[in-house]
Amino acid sequence: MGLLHIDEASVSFGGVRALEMVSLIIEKGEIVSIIGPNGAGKTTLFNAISGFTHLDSGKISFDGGDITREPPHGVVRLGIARTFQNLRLFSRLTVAENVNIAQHSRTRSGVWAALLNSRGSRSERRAVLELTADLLAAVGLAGQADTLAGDLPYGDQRRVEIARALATRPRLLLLDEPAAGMNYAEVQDLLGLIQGVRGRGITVAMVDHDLRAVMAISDRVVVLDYGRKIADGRPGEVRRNPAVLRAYLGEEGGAATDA
Amino acid sequence: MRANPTGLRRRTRAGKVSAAGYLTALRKGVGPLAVLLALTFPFLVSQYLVHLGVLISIYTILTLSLNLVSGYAGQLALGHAAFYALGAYASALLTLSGHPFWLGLLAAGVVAALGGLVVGLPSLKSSGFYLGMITLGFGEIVKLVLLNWDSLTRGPMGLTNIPPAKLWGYTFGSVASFYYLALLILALTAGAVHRLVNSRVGEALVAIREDEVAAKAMGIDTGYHKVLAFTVSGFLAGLAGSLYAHYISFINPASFGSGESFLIVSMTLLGGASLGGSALGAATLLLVPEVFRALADYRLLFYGAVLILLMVFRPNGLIPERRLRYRGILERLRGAEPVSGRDSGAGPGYRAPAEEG
Repeated sequence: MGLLHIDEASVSFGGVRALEMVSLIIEKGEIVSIIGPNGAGKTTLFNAISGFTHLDSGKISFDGGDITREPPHGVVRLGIARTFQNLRLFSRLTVAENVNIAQHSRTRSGVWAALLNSRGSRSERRAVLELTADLLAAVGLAGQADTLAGDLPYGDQRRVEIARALATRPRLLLLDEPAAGMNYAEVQDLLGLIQGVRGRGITVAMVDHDLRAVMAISDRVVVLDYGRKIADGRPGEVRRNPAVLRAYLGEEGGAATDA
Repeated sequence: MRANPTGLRRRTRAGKVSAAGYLTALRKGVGPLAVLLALTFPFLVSQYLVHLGVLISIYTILTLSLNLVSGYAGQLALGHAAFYALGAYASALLTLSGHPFWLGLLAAGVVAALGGLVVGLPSLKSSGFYLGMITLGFGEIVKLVLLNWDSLTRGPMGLTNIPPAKLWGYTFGSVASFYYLALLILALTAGAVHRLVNSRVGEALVAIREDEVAAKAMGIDTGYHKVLAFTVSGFLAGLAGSLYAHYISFINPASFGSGESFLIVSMTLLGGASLGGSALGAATLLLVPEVFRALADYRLLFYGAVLILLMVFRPNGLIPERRLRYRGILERLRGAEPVSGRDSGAGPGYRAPAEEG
């Protein structure tokens, strides 16, 4: 049984159909990549899963529960975390603060606990900081805990974003173009990090343009074009799929490419 | 003020004094000194200055209250005088009809908190200047209702002979005694705000201010927290209103116009998102006109100039919000030797919860 089921999902903005009858199953423990030309609906799909965009029709369920109309914070609580294509770190806050904040849905101290400085809220705080310490060490940023997130080099900001997403304790992690703007060495680092995330038992779905990276790391590749799913399979199969070649290279498209 | 979130003791390196060390010591000294000064104030200065001290205390409460919404949660709120007015009228009307002061004070907070709740709701759908306009409009509506609901508020005549504050049989009749009452409420407010902003709730407010979309993606119910900020903020402003009513013993709608709202906004901007900043912002804007009194007609000119200069040179306020330092705490929590640089890949740490095992 899959972890995430998307059933005939459709979304349109004005007259533009961003997603059209897309069905997709993500299995537990796999790394799935979603690729496709610009405007294919990849980010819309992530937005729909994470509750930022609502479906016009269709259904999304996670671990057996319907999450089609769940708001973003509810989706996070259920165990789906996401990153953003154009980094949305709290750039004027420190790295540690970014990761602390992300544990919001896993903690519960409210106004009264805060005002009374209750024992519960203090021990909860300690647990939050312990996880932050672990995650920062895991992404190699322990020494940067007090650096403002916006002051970090780009590659490290990506790391913070992943640490922050992990801090929500997800079972499914959605990475929206994690390799965008990275050089080759940084991409290699990132792939190691993503493997590590999967090693922690977290299912990963990612959107990316770096096909070489995608092919190297993914168990499965899903291809979208004009809002429709045109291919879904192992990287080797998808690479040779004629529909995919047409989408990427046009009608006259010839040989397969790794680029 | 700085929180020590884990309650772990800070290890300090003995015998090493640097320039930064002196600065920290100086900064640490300022707080207790300010408290000492505040406590002995009535014995040191003239009654008029103590009167200003009462006003500064009241306005510091208002500034702290607005800081929750604007400084921390980042929502533009231009109608804060409305909560102040609601508190003042609620408390005055209750005590005028024979109820005790403590009930008036509490009711002031509750009525203003309900006002905060109502104003907070539009923040679910709008933000920035639009929210600013809505809150400004709310302020005007409250003022107009107070002006026109003659049978209850006596309209523009206002409420007179509001009884003085009285607690446990003690009447806060003199300026000096009222000063201590205002200081007590201020201390309670400051303590509450301090704990709140350094908590999980405060963290959520800051996240909303910094990036609302990212805050949602971090699992924060942004709507709930915005309304919460407005409600708590309303409660605190209501307390300030009650203090004002029982101190001056006369209130009318003119005391709570948009000019008052903008004064509170200016104090908040000027002071910065911190406790010390709130007090300093309130004190500065109340004292500057007094200091320049000798300049007569040119007074407001100087007032404006001071405001502009401060905003140019201290854009984050006189005492900006301070970022907590976590590195040392995190290193100690990991137990091991200080982590330097980066270790590779995924070390130990969080694994996916095996809930559905």
